[in-house]
Amino acid sequence: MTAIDQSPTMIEIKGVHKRYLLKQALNGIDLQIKKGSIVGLLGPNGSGKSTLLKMMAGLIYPTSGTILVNGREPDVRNKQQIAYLPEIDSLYSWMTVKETLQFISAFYSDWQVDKASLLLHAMELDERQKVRNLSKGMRARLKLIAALARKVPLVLLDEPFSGIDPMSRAKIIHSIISEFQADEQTILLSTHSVKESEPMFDDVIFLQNGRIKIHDSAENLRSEFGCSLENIWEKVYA
Amino acid sequence: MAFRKLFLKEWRSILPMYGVFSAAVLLLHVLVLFKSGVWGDEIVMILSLFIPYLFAALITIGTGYYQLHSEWRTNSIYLLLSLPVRGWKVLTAKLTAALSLLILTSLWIGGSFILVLMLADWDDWRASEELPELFPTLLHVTASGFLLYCFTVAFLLIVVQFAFLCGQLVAKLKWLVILGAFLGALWLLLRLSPMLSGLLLWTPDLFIVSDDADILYLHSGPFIGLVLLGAGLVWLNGYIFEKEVEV
Repeated sequence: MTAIDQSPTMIEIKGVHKRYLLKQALNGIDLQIKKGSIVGLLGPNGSGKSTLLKMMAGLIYPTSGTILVNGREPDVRNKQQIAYLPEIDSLYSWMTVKETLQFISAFYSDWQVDKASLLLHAMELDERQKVRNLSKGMRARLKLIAALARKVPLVLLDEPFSGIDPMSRAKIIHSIISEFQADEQTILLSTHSVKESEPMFDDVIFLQNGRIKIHDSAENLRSEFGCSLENIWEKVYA
Repeated sequence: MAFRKLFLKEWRSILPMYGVFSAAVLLLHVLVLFKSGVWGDEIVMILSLFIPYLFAALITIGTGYYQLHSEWRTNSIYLLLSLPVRGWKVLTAKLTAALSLLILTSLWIGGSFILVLMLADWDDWRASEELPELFPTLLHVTASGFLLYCFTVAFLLIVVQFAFLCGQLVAKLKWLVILGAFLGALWLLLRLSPMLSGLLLWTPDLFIVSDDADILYLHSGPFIGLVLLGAGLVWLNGYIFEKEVEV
């Protein structure tokens, strides 16, 4: 594990706005995410989940406000401490599964070869297959291996279950839970599949129109609303 | 390690295109070999050398654009941007991969041409008494010309990268911005180069022909100036890639 800041906060966002040409993607986000937790980032399409995750990963920058990840602003060096899984297919289709993992592993000193092999076996992927010949579910599993085979303080997963069949979804959730390094790692996961992913979450953030509607622990929310997070979703976005 | 991986990745992705081109050049030279008795020397030279080298340069410059365009089109730009690698390294890997394949292809064109020429005029070559004397000069001219050729293509590649990245900064009228950035950068660099070379008057001259009777001197200042400006533009491209373009 790379050296990490000793404060209890992994992500600190203050007054962040993000404006595109005709759209305000994020509107005054103030957020603190503590270390060692799995946080669910929930919200309908266009609520700002992907924008927020990209900002934390250092792919885009806020129009105004500050964002600190593990005590520093997201930059090239910070990317060593972050594993980011984008929603869209971003792998090179002409590479094989093995070549893809070898390519990605070359950039990270925290890459765990044994873990990658175990995950490859657990996800039932043939390393000789080209990425272009993999189904969407298999590509999702490959992306997840690329994220979870690293020993990093922060893992950002943007819609890891998008377009995935239930069997693959269950495998992915199982892998996330089993590979989670409590006290050493923070996982931030955005999803629409609240029902399946609910058991994972320590904290939950509900986003709407670029603003945070609710941010609390999953347990508090369930006792406050007296129902599951899936039902809370329906109440929040009704 | 990171740069090497990026370089090899780029090499693999564009190698097929150069492979097909090299095969086409070989076929062209075989055609020239069969027609060399019918066609004149000028046509043979144009078809065997000028056109292949021109197309190799155009393909390389087009590759410079295609390398970046395909990253955005296939969304692998997300992967590249999430890597802990500086922007200038990513772009330099693309640049060096394209240039290295250009050099190899150029050597292939030259080698294939020599083979064709020698096969067609083997008796004349054997009988020639001037060839041993001319060979060093010929080599010098060829090497100098080749260096200028690669230098020009490298320079244009960097400008193409800059133009493409400028296009990614806008949501609409991308093509217009890309064209404007390309022409604008070219104009600016060619205007700045003489000014910079004026500061470099103390640098040594380059000579093209090392023959006692005929020596051509070129001041190295403009070339050094263009190298410095090119390096500066590579840095700027890296900054734009890392900090300004958004996905």
